Amino acid sequence: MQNKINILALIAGISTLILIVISIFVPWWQLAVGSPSIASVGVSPVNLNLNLLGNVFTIPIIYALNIASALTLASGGIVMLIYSVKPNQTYSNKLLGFGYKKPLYAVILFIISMFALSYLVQRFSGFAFPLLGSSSLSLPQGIAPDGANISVAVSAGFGWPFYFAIVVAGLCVAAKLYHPKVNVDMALPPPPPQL
Amino acid sequence: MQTIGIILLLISIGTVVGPVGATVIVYRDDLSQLVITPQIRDIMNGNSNIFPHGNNGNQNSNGGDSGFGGLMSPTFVSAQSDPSTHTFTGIFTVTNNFTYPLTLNSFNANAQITQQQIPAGSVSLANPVTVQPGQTTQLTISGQWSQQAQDYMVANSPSMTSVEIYVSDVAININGITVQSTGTIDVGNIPFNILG
Repeated sequence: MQNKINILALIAGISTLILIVISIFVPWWQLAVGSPSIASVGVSPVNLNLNLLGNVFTIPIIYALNIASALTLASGGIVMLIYSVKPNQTYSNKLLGFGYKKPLYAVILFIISMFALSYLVQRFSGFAFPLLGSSSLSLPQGIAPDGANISVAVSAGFGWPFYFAIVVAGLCVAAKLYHPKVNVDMALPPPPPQL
Repeated sequence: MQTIGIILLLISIGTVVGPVGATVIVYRDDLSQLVITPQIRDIMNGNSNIFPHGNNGNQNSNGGDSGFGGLMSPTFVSAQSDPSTHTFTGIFTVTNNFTYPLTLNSFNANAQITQQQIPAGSVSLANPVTVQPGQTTQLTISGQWSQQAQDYMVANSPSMTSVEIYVSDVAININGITVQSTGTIDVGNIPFNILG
């Protein structure tokens, strides 16, 4: 049996591992409070950066989830690489099924969690921060001191690693769709016995 | 085939349960610290070093800090005036008690003479000022006093040498945070000679 390579899976696997490294340092989504900024929030599945007046906060459970996310993505990327060079083995389908979903799930869960966070923050604190763009955020009267109105300039946006993650997820799906073509040798009937 | 499936399943579970489980074990004595770290707890209790206490600014009528939104503490240094145009320029020093650079983008307020609540004019920040952490910087606030204030000073100048001033309708912008207060801030006694 000829040992082919699923080139899309190879690119997707390498891209997934690159995405992990990038996402540690560059957030997928960032919120800056103030101008110049006095607080910022940088979020990616593998890192949460909370910065208030130059002080960085680490929330242990979030940190653990970030590590879990990084390990999950890394396992997905490595399994995709293994699959890419062994696409027509009996176990290849299982490797592909495991690997291609990881970046896809990361992107989908990230988008859902960002909308959920926006909703929950607004629901429980009264702040309606933007997911994209700039706005002036007014503090609820209950929080502001007597008779004072406090508003804060905030700006938010998705960073390029987020769009790169979408591309990686797309590559993974493409690798899955390409799998039957790579695996066509296995589907062919055996040659007739020569008389 | 079956083995591969089991290995992949174990990887899926292990990559999530491993880090989360380890963190839970580390914080098993006080699970609340998984979310609310000592740093965050200090902020909630008002004991954090991030937000310094004891600003030496004046106190407002409500007893709160009168500093620029509580972020900087101003101290009056000197003032100059031009009696012909009823304008004055006040020099203040502000101290940044935070460990982070702060930029005072704007400051606007209406000044009043405390004794009879006579509108004394409006004041505003001449130029934005950035104060480095722990540093003290001068800033210039300029304004124009009203004819009513001028008349009050002229009428009282033989018996009074200074006038108590407070400011109201204060609007401050520090690092994009805008505080608009309807409360008052006592500026203190301003000598008549400053105001011409």
